Amino acid sequence: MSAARFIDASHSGLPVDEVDFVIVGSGAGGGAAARILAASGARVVVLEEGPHIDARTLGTNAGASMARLFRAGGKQAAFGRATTPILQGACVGGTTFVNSAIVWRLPEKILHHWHERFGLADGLPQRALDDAATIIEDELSARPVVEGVTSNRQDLLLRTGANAIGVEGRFIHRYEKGCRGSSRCLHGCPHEAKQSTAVTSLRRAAADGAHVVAHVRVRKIERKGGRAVAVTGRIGGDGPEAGQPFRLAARRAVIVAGGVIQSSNLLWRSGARMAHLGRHFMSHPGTAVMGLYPARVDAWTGASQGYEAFGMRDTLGVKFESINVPPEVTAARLPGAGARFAERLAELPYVANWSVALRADAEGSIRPSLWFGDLVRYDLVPHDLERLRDAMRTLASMHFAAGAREVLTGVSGLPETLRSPDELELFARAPLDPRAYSLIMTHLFGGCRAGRDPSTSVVDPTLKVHGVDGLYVMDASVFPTNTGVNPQHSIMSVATVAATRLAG
Amino acid sequence: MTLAAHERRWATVIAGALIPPGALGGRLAGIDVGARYAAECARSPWHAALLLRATLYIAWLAPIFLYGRLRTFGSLDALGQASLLERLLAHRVYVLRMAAMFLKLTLCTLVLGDEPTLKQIGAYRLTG
Repeated sequence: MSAARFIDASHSGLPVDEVDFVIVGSGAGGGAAARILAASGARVVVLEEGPHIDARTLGTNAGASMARLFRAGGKQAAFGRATTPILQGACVGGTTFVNSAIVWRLPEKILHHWHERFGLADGLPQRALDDAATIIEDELSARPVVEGVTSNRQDLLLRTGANAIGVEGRFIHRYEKGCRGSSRCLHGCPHEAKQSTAVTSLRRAAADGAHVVAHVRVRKIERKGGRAVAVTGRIGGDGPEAGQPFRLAARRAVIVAGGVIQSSNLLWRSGARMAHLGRHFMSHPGTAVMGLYPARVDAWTGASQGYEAFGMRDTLGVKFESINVPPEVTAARLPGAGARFAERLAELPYVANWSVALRADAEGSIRPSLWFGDLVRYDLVPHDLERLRDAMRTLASMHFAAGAREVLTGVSGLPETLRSPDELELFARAPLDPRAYSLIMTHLFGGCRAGRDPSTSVVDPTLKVHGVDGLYVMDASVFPTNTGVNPQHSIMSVATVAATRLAG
Repeated sequence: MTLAAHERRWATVIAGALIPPGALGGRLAGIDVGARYAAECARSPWHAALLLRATLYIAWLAPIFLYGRLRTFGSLDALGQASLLERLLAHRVYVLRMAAMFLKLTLCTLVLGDEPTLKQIGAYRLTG
């Protein structure tokens, strides 16, 4: 019954032309909102720009999967002094379909800051967020990686390294049910064990009568008398309906949950001109430090991410994670070309890949662009680069403490490899220039930040757009700051609280 | 964006220089890199496809601006080609370094993701 409510607009168009709630985006925010609103008995349609993917059709080739699952085939970037790739899912389930499903509640310290500085205490009270988080953890089967079952050697090495220098850590808590350790969370779980919104919240919403419609590109939100009344756009994909314009009316509200970049730009294209729209874009830029070990690591087994060391979150503002980046991508980070590169390729099974995610102070901006569709500008500030450098040095020292015979720095201006802990001091010479680092961004925040004051924010504490009735934003674009932890759980909790209020 | 025949050939030659055919137990032999590169351009947004194309020209014409000689990538021997790629990958000019890195990442993604290669690496518990 609910399966019939997952529709490909490219082949069958939109199933209705008016509902109570139109939700734009099917990721963490859209999925959570759909779940609540559909359960309340309201008529709901979730519109997703990307395709609905049958996970069983996904092979082991990461490049082929990325082309189908990621926005711009994984070739989206932020521009500044350096060009930084941005990875966002663009399929039913959004980024929850292609992330590692890591569970972290919104830190109390961050929420307290939001309450004090941005006046969000009424809209996002601690108690309501905690209750929402508890329900989501239950529904999405949050549980830790189990040593010897879904962990791999890379995780255990990180634990050894973190313990050796006294950094607190744990096996990662993830949303999963029946994980077989396929190690392919990042390009779509082939067994649907990872509990993305595509297999959880959206299915529940569909069972309660919601439609989830793929291949729909929303271009504008229509307003009438200060109220959002409909969305318009074109149908995508390559079916017979592709290219057709559509209009879908919303009797009660339009909920924008397209992701940080897309939500800001959808409001902009719809005529919103708040002074802070598209501003305060923040992130947790990350990079990897790889260690080469004397024995096989076989990183591409078990959970894609199994262990995290978070003990420096409140001091340096960083979190370390083991991560099984697909071998094709890891290979590109190995030094050299030709015969030297071929020798390195043979060492791939001996590589442990650990990442640092930085809670950066930098703020960027988001705007629609005639040429690129979405234009993101972003530059790390010197303080961020200093902390990044210190964090990479710490990761390198953890590799040596865990027994690595070589550490690959991945920093332009430093030697390609370090062979002993004595060389760690070289990190002090790493340039404070973002162009020297291979960074990537997956955790995005801001652009439609929430706040009580309409002159400095885009949405109010209930996540309603200032000055427009019936228009809400429910994704990480409303976060006034970055959080220092993986954001899916926070996004779902915030959207759940806001949608519950809206459901009345 | 459609790649011309010479651009497909360049992609094949550069890939062969980056990853010699004998690498990973010879599992990469027989891959038509040019066709895969063309397909990657075709499915990418125009700006990314343009960059994919530009990286080929940068690598192919690099002997001119790196060595000051009227030579192309294809006219170098295998050692010279690998050496040139290494110089680009470590170049002090960010745009050149990033273009070379983007090319390397693209080629690795295109040729190392096949199941026999992943088996050779031992990824995803694939056996055989």
